Amino acid sequence: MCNKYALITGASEGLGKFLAIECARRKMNLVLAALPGSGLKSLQQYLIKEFEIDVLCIEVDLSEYKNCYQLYQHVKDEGICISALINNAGIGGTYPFDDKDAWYYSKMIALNVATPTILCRLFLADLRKNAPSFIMNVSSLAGIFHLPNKQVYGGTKSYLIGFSESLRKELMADDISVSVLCPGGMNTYWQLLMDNRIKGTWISRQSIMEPCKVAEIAIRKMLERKELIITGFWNRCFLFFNHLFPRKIKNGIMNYQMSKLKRKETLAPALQPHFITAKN
Amino acid sequence: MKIFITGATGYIGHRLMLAAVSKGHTVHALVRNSSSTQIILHQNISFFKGDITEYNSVLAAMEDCDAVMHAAGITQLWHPDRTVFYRVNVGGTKNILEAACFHNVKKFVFTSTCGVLGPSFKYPISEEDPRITPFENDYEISKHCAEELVKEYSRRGLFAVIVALPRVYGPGPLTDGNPVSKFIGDTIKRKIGFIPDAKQVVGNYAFIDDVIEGHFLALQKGMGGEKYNLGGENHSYEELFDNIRKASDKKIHVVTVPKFLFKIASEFVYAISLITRRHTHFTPKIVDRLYQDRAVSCEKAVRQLGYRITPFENGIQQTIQFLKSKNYV
Repeated sequence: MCNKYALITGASEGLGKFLAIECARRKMNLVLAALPGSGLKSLQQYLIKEFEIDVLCIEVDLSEYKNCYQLYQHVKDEGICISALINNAGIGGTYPFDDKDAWYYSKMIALNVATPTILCRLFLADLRKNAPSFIMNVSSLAGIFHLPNKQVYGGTKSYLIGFSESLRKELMADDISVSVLCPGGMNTYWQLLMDNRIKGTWISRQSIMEPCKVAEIAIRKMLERKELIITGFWNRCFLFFNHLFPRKIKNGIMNYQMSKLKRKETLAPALQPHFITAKN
Repeated sequence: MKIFITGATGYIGHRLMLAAVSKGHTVHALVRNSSSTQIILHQNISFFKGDITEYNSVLAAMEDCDAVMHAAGITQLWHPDRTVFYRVNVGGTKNILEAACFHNVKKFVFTSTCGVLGPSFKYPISEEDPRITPFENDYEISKHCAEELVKEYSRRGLFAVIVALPRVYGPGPLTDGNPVSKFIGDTIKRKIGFIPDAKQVVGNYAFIDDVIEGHFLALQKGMGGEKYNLGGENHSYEELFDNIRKASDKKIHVVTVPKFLFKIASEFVYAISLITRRHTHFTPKIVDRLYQDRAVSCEKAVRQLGYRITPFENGIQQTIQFLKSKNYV
């Protein structure tokens, strides 16, 4: 019998970092994967010191198909048993469809759709062997509410909801619990944090949460074997109304919110650093 | 060296200015109020009237400077208008960074707070540790944003160092930036001290002289884009009182107040200040802070900068002597 580990992808920043900290608090050993040079080592050192757990970190670009296999092989070579797989790595953003090129979207689809699917498939045998075990796929509220300027992102996140809910029914008999996490907006970057304190509409402010709070709820609900995890009271309310209201009214509210946000943006230009080039 | 200093009428900035001229530097100090009592006549100090939120006043005052020490900011933990934190602490910092790039300043030292790092758990918190609890107030968020802004400019080529300060105490005017010394003075004067019923809760207390010296060490030896905690020793409330008693030779009654009483009192004060739109130090969230361990590790500054820490006992003695000399106690 070997020690059990949780694997978290995209663990160096944002929500992934806090998911790692929440698991560490519960004394779960960790395998953390993230892009090279993203500060994974310092997180590893901190977790080992503060929580006295075993942490293995693997620096890898998971948007490459073959690197997913490499990650799997690396874990196997270390003789580590994975009993929880948290697919958190992803690319997001809000922009008009023609802002990015086709290559960018193919990258996004690879990381947000293909990678979690491949990792679930690769680790399935291990998860079965180490049951009771857990899979959590990190989707988004944008996968439920189809917001403008989040076309590809929303689509990839919708896939994760469908994939997870189907897989959950299949793996129930193996004692593997599949959950899907749908957080709303999060303060994962300092500029977002500040913008949310000084502008934004009432609804958008209610929906936005701190990543450490989201992570705490997510890990707790995952261990409670919940299927769909929606974080925050207001987000759950919005979802409830989403089921209740006819399409016409929903679209009306959304357009109103979007136009209000845009108006506010023109009134208070974001504090983008516009660098004056230094005299050399 | 010609140094541009902001916040020169505040606790830290004022001492920075004095230390700079005593080290033979020339100072350009930006002040909002030209009749402030903190303004002193010195051949090597030029005062410029301005405000860090007004870019042009910063640009004019920084002309010809080699280095910048940015110690201005809103230091309160709560303000009725929260946007003021972002306008001054983030917007103001951006103006100074922009001006520093424009004037091709060689070194930039930004004074921040250990509050950004959050509470400590098993070990004293160090610069690279992730914050694992949410931010509790707009002061900390604004300082965090300002630090990130400084790092962003540093990545683009500005040589910028961040220094983070815990609770600072020591001789000096008993302003908003020096609450610990005021607390020590009030405790001795009244011979009674109120502390939370969690005597073992640890905080970090930095002696002002160490902090000032640390700023200049950061200016000389600091690495670009790095952050250094300039703190002191970690002590519990109980140890703080023991030291005050010992150094003042006075009998001081310590009254421990249960948390719920503190909470009720602060809710009351908070409600009044919300109605009157007046500033207060005593909000429910600030009470919660009193119950959090805030131990800080200064190992990086000691190792990389040669930062030195005055023993707590010694620092408290000097502070009380100062308070006595000013007839405060």
